[in-house]
Amino acid sequence: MFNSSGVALELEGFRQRYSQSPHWILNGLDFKIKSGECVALVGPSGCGKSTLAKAILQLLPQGSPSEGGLFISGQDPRQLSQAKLRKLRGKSVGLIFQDPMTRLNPLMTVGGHLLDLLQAHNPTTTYSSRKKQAEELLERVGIHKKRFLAYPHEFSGGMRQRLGIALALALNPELVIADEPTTSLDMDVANKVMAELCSQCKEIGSALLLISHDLAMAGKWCERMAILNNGKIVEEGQSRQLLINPKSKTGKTLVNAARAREGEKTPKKSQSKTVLEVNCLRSWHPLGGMLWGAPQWVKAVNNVSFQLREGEALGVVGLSGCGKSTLCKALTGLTPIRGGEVKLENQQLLTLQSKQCQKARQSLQMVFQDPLASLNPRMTIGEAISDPLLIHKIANQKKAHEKSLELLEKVGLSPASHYQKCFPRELSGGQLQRVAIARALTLNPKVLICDESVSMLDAESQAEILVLLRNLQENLGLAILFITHDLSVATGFCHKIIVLNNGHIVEEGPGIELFNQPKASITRKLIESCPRLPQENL
Amino acid sequence: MEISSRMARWGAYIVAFYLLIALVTPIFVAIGILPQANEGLGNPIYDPPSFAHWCGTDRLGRDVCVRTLEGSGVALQVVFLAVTLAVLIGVPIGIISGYIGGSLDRFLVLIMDTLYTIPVLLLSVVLAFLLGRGIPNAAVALCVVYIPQYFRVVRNQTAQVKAELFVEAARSLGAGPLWIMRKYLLGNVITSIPVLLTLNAADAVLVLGGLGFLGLGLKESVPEWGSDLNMALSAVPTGIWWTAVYPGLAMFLLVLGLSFLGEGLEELMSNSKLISNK
Repeated sequence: MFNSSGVALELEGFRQRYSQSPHWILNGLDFKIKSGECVALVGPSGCGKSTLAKAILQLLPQGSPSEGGLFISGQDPRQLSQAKLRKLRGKSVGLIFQDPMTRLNPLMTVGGHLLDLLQAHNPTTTYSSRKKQAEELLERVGIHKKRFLAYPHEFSGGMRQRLGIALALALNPELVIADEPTTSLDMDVANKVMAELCSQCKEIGSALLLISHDLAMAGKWCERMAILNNGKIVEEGQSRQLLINPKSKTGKTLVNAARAREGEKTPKKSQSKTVLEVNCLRSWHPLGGMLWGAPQWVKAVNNVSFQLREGEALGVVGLSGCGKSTLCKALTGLTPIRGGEVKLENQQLLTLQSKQCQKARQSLQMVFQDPLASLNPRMTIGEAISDPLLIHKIANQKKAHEKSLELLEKVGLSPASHYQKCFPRELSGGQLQRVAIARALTLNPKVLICDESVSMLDAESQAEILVLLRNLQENLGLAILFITHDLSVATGFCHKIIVLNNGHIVEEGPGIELFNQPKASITRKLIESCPRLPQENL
Repeated sequence: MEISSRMARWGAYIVAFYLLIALVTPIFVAIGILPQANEGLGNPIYDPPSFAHWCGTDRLGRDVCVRTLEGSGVALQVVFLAVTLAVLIGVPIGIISGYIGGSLDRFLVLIMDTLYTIPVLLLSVVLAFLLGRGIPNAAVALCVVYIPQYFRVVRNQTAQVKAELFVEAARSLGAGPLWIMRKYLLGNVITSIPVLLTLNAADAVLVLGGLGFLGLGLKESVPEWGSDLNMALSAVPTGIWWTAVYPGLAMFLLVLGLSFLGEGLEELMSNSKLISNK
């Protein structure tokens, strides 16, 4: 019999595939996690990270063939009966998902989730003892026990993920698997959640398998790291060493991409004419309520002023809810502006008639965060790109068609005639973001607003899109307003950065200065929570 | 094969068969292979099915077979017209109401919901009575009944799709409301229309039959299943079954075919939606 002492998870030549496809998604994995160890599993998208998490818990569709050795604290889950397998999930292995909201039952209270779990695994205990245990669990992950009867929708993303952690750790499992636990959270919250997760695992002595595409984050929290590609572990070692000096090809590409994304230094500032000038911009949302008295307002953007020069990239950084997105929407005309002035190429946007305003706004275009959602699923790529020309009646069908080919080549999607006929769902995230950029460029804008345009992509695509934007900026003299929650990306990409908090600008300056001498507390918080790759000289 | 695709296929066969009959019967009548539908003076009345009259003759000596065959053409014409009109009116109003929202939306929803609360047969009977007889009149009477259904489906879907990011993206590109409705909303909200259309067509066949049975809808000279059934009713107790069975069977089969087609399409669509979501 296999001796389990001290090993939480062991894989020996493990192979797994889905029953419909002949390809092995995981192809000969050899991997070991000792008890109490913190290991990160990283890799490019589609390398089989999430499949591994599901395979370990036997959550894949039934009848998916697997080969080789798989042992969770010495037990092979494939040999267990359904009843024992259910015991194993939760008791020996806890799983934390990427998006906690979809995994919680919206009709069940927060406490109910915990009680349910405890009851399923310890049916003999009394209700009051279970309730006490559940309250302790909540307190442990930093949720006050007063919120025991709250429902999941009353919780923020970070709180829900904390609840996810509490659920995963409730039965003191020997192994915790966290599958991209912070991807849907903003930097600051992500940092807190990760800190909570790691300290809790340490406390109860669980091993942690962190699955992530974010090398910097993985390196910050895990001492050991393994890189997965094409279903195989291609490299394994101490995080710091691996990040500074990767040996395998995949490792090198991943680390280079992550470094390119971070950008070593702030680019030089150019001196050219101002294309966009914003003075004391205010965009407030009315709050419903009182019939009389002064109206209540959410001051999403309040007295924001900045200037944007030709060929310059201005970063707007802040935590979620600081007014970044409202700023974009106000500038593109999607949200009403309450006051201030916006000068675009010496034209006052707010005083123009709607027709002229629409015409003036052509030189200000936007690239959205989620490229798939921002494209009409029923339009081909070619149609989507040529649509702006048809909207403004600048070109006829044929000319628009030619222009879309030209733009596709420009953003690096060739052969353009192939991509032109595709529908959005057929392309990858990075390709779609290129399409979205091409569409924004159709009207030859002077200013491009990128609202978190890279945050949904994996590190490699992020780096590629940033290079593309940089090239376009140099060739076309574009001014870019780059909105992000990630200070390190902004530092590498932008000439100047403004930090927003509660709709105000709290700090501005070149990125590297902000990084080295942050003045505002919010900037300091952003820097602390933002994981960066280790540097060689440190 | 899955039951849904089998249903859709058989439904399509049945409907195609009826279409064929509707096209071919007038030609056969014109060249004289089949007798005229309203000609019965030279024939014996209530003649049971025989070689001369395959489905027998009715109270006026008219050939039941020809009347049943011609009835399919009439039914399809009315139903097709009615449903097309309902789609052409209901879908644009639904999109406008859903996209623009506000008081216009509330007003239209109120009207449509009011229409919706009135029983289908009652509404069409009243309208058919007011509009008089004839194929276009009957079609209009039926279409008013179905407009609220399309309106509802399309309006709700529009209200959902308009919150999607790609609509906002189109607005940021400078697209006006008409452009957005035409190019961004229409294609995304009409996905459930084919299903509703076929199911409504099945329903409309029955309502048309009901109108005919009550002596409304079409002119007396037009061979129509409903009015034929009404005429046959008095003779059934005396053992004369053929005047009732054949038009009834024809109506039953057409409704069955259309329902199969609709249900099958619905299943197929929800399946393909699942696959594309994966």
